[in-house]
Amino acid sequence: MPEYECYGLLLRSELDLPGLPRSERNPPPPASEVTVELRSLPASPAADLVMVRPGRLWVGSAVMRLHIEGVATYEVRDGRHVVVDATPAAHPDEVRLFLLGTCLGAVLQQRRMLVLHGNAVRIDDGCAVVLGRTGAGKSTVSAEFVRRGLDLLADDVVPVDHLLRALPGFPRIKLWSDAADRLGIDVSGLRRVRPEDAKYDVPVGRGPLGPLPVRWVYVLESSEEPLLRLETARGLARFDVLREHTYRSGLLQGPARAHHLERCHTLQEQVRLVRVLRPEHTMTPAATAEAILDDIACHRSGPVQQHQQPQEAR
Amino acid sequence: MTAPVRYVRSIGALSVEIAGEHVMLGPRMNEYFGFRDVAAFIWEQLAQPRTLDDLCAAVVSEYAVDDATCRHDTEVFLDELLEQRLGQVEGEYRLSDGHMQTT
Repeated sequence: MPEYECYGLLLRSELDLPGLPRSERNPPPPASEVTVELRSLPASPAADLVMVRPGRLWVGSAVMRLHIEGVATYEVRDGRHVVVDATPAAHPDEVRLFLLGTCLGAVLQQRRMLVLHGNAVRIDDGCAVVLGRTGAGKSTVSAEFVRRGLDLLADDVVPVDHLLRALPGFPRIKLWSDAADRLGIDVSGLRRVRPEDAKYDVPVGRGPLGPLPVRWVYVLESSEEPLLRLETARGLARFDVLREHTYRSGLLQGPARAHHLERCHTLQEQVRLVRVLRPEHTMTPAATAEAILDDIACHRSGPVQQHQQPQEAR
Repeated sequence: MTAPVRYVRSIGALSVEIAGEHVMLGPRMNEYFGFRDVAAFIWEQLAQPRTLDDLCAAVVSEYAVDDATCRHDTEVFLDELLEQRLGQVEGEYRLSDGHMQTT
């Protein structure tokens, strides 16, 4: 059975996962193993699961069940076992998309990671995480970082472990074709993320990377102001940023939510947390990347400080 | 005459502090709450059991507010805390999501 590696996990998968790095660890550390099985599942979810989204998502203390009409039903247990019950006519890329998205997010969350919806790049011996709503431009800005020679740690899903380190994910960025064009990336011959979308899996080269402590968090927000401005988040807003950009927060039920609160709290204590307010129509990925890199350069060494000057106007 | 009731943080409420503001999760664990300003101040007071009079006296000494307004607003806030099970009356037994709690 093929074995793949990402987010510090070893995936033994009955489903082929092209594009994922094969594992070279022999023997693998046993705690990190995750099995992906292809088999049929009961037609209805177990009675003790909480229905989070009708007909689609059910969550229990160590179980998640996801149903995607026309694609597959998935069950994830104990952060170790994934069962995929694929619809016969489903496109394999669609089956993989939800496996590597929501299901992998559930695996990580069941392993008590704080899973953020964003991208991470290596800076020195730590990393910077870029958060933002869907369409805010996280991947485009990260692609710009990569173009400038930084190593991409993770795209879309950034799990943070109990030592407040981000774990390395797939060496690829999901980019819409127009964003790739702007960055001078040729998408012909690349795999589409979903068969019907002009969004591509763009492979990025990088050296071997281990988990890296999160030192900076930037949140991309759109603003009405004429100029890009950075603003340090303070007080409750620091928690709110991490809560809002938690990946698939519907998966957090019961004690997992208490754990989430505590992990967000400890993470916000160690990071510089900055809102990047960008004028919507005039801002380029290059200008945003530059503003973030300038800010990192100004706050690169020494202990992390929570109480900065009120604003760093640019 | 019975002693006035004293209010206190609920045993099942989990809260963290960030620069004088508080985020908390009630025993139902389904929603986060954030307190700043006066709400944060009262929440800090409720680390120990307090009567309504204790709380009002503390708030009036710290904020520019008259007694009547303070008393009304504090009562509304306490009702909300009890409703969300973030706070409770000292010594009160309460069934919360199947778990018996006692102070």
